[in-house]
Amino acid sequence: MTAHWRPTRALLSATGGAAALLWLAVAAHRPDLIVLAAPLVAGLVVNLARTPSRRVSASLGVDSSTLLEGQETELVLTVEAPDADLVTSSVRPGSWLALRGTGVRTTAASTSVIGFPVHAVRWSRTRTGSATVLVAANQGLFRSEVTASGTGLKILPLHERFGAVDALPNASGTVGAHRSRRPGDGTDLAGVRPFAPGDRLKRINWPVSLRTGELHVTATVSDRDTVIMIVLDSSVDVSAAAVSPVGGSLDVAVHAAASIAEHYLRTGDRVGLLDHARALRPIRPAAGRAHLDRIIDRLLDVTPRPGADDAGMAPILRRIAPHATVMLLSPLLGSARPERAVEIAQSGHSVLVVDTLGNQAPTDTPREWTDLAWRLQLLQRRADIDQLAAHGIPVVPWRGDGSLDEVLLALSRAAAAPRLR
Amino acid sequence: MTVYRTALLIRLVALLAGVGLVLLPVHPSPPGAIITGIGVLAAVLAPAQAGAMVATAAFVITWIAGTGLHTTPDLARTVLAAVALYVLHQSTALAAFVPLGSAVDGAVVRRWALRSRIPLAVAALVIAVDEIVPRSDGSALVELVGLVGVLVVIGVATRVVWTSSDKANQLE
Repeated sequence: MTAHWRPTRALLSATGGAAALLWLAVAAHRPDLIVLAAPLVAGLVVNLARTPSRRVSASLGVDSSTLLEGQETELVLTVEAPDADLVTSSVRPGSWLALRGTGVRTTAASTSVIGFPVHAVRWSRTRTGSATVLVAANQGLFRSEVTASGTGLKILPLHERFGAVDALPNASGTVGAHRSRRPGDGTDLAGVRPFAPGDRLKRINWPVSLRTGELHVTATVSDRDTVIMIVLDSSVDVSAAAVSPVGGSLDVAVHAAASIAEHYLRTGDRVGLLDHARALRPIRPAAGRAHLDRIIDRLLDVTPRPGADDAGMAPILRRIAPHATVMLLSPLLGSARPERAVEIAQSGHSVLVVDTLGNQAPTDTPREWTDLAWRLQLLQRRADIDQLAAHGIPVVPWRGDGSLDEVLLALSRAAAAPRLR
Repeated sequence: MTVYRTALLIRLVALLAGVGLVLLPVHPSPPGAIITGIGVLAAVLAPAQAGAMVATAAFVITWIAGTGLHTTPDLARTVLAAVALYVLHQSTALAAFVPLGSAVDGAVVRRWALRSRIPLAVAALVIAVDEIVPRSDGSALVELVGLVGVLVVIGVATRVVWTSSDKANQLE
């Protein structure tokens, strides 16, 4: 952006004052008024000997267009003001970027590159912000103001350290890191059984065969990958106003989703994402590093949408991931109803509800009934969790590393058990 | 908002110069002093606005009213008032570009002060000439010619000082 020069009130004041003093000096025969006017006149002559002509330009950039939460960087303001005496730059960083130190600097250099340290507060798709540059020339007799707007910026959710057991209820595919229930060429022992035509010779268990007098083979279960479908319930965000390392329930959900996706994609599984508020734009399950980038990119667009159309998710999940293990991330509060989990479970998926409420509480101004209403909500939530348990849907609070292990093992055992129809 | 020392210091200089403008007129009238004071305060609190202009106007009226139309105050007082008036203008003009929350490079104030010395030097020269040259009452036309002559002298002197200062800066 560039801008022209304009005279200031200081020019008007000095010119008017000097002219008035000189006129009065002549009119009233007062040489002392010439003395009073002399510095003002001299200042005007000095500073008006050459007026600023070259335009001022400014641009605002950033070192990296992708940041992690908590990462520090610099908003770099480049100002070209060849005729300037001083340059005052004010930077307003974009949302979820916080300045470290002052956002206003005054420098004497006519061409300057000024760095404003900022740090990323929370995941978002934001902009670097904007800067207003105020430039003075000729001892403040002329001014020029230019605004520089920044570029787009992505702040990625910082993945928590997360790990989980390799047990999953529905292993599928042909290769992978999870035990399946099917016999095959894997590494995990399934048992020892008599030799049958087609068995490989290297599978013969010689100690058992010698002891029994009949050929026996070591049976293994095949290793398979699995499909994890992460469903994010963004219909409610408790404590959304909190700007802290641990934000609202939606913030916890986004972090959990990023961590779960990263963990399972790293182990070679296929992961998909479905945002409740954008149910018609799911990310289909796929594997690989690029897919993780795709999922995290979509997570940046997650916003609380209480009024979002509550489309039935079970049919969508049936269509895009028929044998997936569904992890529903929800605070189970308000419009984030448990019926969604029940509906998905009834469609044949293994469902695990990850409770993202934690210790959050509403940050609204407390009113007379706030406390009571909140306690009622919590009671309803407790009843909902019990109802889910009755349907065989486990609810586990998100605590990062290992928080899903116990429940995943239980789900695997439940899935392996014979079914009565 | 963090207030930075330099930004505050610039306003303090403006305030001191303004106090000088309130106190320096001979027999200052209370209304004149009050209006000057209000103008100075406005200039300090909102330097980009017209406070300095109000203070200047009120000061000039108080200055003339204090001594009467045909009496001249002593030179020292006049020189002090001229310096105060100039410093008020300069510091207000600078403060208009330096918000209170701004971190200011030391070079800004240094350069501003160095540039302000040139008009002061020229003004000192003019004042000396004004004092040395014998006074004589003449026609308004002669006085006007004299005034133009003074302005030309100021202009030439300023130009010479400015050019030499510019060359010195370039050599640095």
